[in-house]
Amino acid sequence: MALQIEEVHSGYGDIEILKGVHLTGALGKVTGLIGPNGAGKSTLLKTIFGYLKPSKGKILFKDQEITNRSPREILERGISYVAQTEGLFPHMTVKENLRLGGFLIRDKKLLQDRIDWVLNLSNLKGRARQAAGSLSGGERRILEIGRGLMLDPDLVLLDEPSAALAPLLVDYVFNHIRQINDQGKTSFLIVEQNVNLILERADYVYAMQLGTVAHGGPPEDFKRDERLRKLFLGKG
Amino acid sequence: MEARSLFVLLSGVFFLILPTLFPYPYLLDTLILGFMYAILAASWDLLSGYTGQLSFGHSAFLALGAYNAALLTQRVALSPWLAIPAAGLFTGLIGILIGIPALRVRGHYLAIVTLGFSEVIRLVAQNWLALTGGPYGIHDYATFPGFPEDPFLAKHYFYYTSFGLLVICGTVMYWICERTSIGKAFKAIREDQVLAEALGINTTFYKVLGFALSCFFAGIAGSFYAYYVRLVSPYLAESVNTVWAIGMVILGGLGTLIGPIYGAIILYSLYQAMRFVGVVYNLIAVGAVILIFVTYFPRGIWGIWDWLAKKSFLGRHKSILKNFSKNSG
Amino acid sequence: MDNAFLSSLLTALVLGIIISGIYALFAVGLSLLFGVMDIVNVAHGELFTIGAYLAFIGIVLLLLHPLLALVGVIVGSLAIGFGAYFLTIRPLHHRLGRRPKAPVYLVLTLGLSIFLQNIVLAMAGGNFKVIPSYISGTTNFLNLVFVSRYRVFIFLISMAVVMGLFLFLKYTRTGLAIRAVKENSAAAQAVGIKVDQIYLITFGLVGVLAGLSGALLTPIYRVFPTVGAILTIKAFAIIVLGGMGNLVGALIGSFVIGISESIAVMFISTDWKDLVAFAIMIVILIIRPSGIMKGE
Repeated sequence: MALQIEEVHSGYGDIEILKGVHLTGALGKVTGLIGPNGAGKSTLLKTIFGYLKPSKGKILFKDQEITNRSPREILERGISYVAQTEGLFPHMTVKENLRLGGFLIRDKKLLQDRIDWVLNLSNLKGRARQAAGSLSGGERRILEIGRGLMLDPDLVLLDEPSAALAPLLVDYVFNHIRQINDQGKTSFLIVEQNVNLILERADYVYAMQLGTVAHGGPPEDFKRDERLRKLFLGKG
Repeated sequence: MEARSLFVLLSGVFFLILPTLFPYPYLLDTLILGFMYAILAASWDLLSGYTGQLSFGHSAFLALGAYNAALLTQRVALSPWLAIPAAGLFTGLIGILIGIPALRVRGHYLAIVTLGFSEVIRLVAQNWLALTGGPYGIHDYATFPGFPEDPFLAKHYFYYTSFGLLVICGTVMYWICERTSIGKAFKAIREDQVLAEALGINTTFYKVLGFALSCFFAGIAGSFYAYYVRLVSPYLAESVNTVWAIGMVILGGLGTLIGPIYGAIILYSLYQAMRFVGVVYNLIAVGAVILIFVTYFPRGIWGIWDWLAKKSFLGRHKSILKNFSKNSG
Repeated sequence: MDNAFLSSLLTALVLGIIISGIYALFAVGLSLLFGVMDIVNVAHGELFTIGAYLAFIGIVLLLLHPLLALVGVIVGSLAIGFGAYFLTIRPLHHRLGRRPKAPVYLVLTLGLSIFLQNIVLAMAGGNFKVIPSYISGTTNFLNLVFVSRYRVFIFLISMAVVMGLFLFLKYTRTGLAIRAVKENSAAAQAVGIKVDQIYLITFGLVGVLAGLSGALLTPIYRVFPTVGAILTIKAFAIIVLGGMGNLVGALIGSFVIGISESIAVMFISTDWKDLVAFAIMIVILIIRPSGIMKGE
């Protein structure tokens, strides 16, 4: 039991998006979060990370309560967040972007080691001095994920990593994610519009609808069950 | 809504009979200029509150109206009754000249440019001796013909002139902003210019119109000032007068037009009342008012009344019906 | 070209360069504040004025050693910057969220400007005060241009401070955080930077920059309540010229305007000198509103 979300209500101002979300995610997996537009997928990620404060409910991570904590505190507890858009500092170099990802690291040696590790992992070693904004779409996504890895988190929240990427690049990014997950430390909770993609790539899937979790199970559930297929695979 | 209309009506009647109830010269002086500032404040609200074009140089238009009127009466012996609308038209035309290049800049830039513009006007007024009389200004021109010699009696005449101008200008501005399609266009542009354009609103036309109207009324305020104070000087163009206008609007309620009118009367009366405390301190109060209201009471007095009305028992039931009325803030 | 003309041209150039140093110190702060918080600080001139008065109090009234007085100026400006932030900017920021509408802050800083200006007026009176230079004597360049040593001193100090700021922003952890917030405050928050803290630091920093420029300039000028106000408009012109939020642009813009003003005075009366900055700003807004620098 690593991530536990209990009866969480959350939203923007007066508008409530999450109406009692119940979710438990074990560590070690690549977990997908699917659902139609407006179901609350991104909202859930933002609430976990502390961008939004829930009006009701509790969130626990590694048995510690993290409801209502600031993003910084959540980072310190081992969860990082990769936004859907504009997650980079385009005018800064790749290295500076990573440096910022590791902002909370005070130890200079550790910081440098991490940067080197991520650069290697991301295949961006030669681009360290390049401006982040000048990278290609796929490279930028990898860099964003890399930045999210700088603190060696237990859980990375990814908001639509395939957005605006060509299919080949999507493969590349998801191979990358799998590679990191295989190393055993980092889990991923991935929000995706592309349902088929998640069913291919995830170990476990939660489906959201209208602000609650409709079902949670391995991808096979969704492929086999008629009702679920209709609801979430419907028109693709 | 009804309670507020009643309030406006009652206060109008109150101001009408005030000189008979409280015939104190200092009070009349205060209100005469208070009404003038009310016109200025309302004109600023029209441009910046309704249309969203931030003018930090409105004092320039006050000055332009004042100088224009003074010069017309001094050089061409034009009667003040004609010079007031003439000055308004002149200032309105300048407004168009400013409004056109202003189309190219937005937000911060517009504010900065208009601030600079008022400085330019001030410098010109200060240095163009032949036309403007330099730093000492112009003072030898006639005022309203037919006004009594006796200063106390004359004050009454000035009072009703000022009040009359306020009622006329205020009504026209309010009607334009709240009851015509022009006002709707203004608000649309303020909320989302791109969307307004997409909906077929000619934003260029309305933005320039906003400038023209706003400057017209600011010019009228300025021209009245000229005839009442009997001295126009570069001081009129100093940015402090813009700050007055803005403070009055913030106090009264941005984008409500009526709010700024009351805000002006209240703030100016407060200023004059504080004169007994010490001259320099009252501008501190103006600054403080702006700070406090922008930070904590953005809706201004008029807006708060609105909010309170909605929160009351009657208000809550009314608001269920008016569910989609938009609260600006 | 005869010697006299050349001499006055060179003098104008040198004086222009020197005043540009002060302008740079002043304008870079304004640009930084805009870049990080999207706020155009109309009260920037008042921070300058307060710095000037603090220097006056320190040197003339308290008879402190100039360096000690400067320390006092730094502390005082820091306090004012923090105070302004906590009392007004922070509550607004929390109420309006991260993407505030431009007018609100402009009006706010306008109110702050009038408030501060008149507090100074109330406390100090409207008279011009004079501070003696803390370095006396003159120096000369090439036997053609004579300037006071003090002027050279303030140029060197302002440039040193500006350079120090640039180094701070580029190489320190806090500087990096400030740059991060400036570029993308949401991402900055996502990496654990306390954005509120950065705003506070930036405000304090900007206050110090403005206050220092005031303290440095006054011995060659005068001290009175509206001394900073006209500078504010020039600073606006400078940052429009350099690109709002672009610090290097602000630096370059300062020199463009400082030198242009100085040379223009050779041809037009000093009464109109202040219009030069404004005229340049209008031209830039018409032909290239994003400023003369590339990008941003």
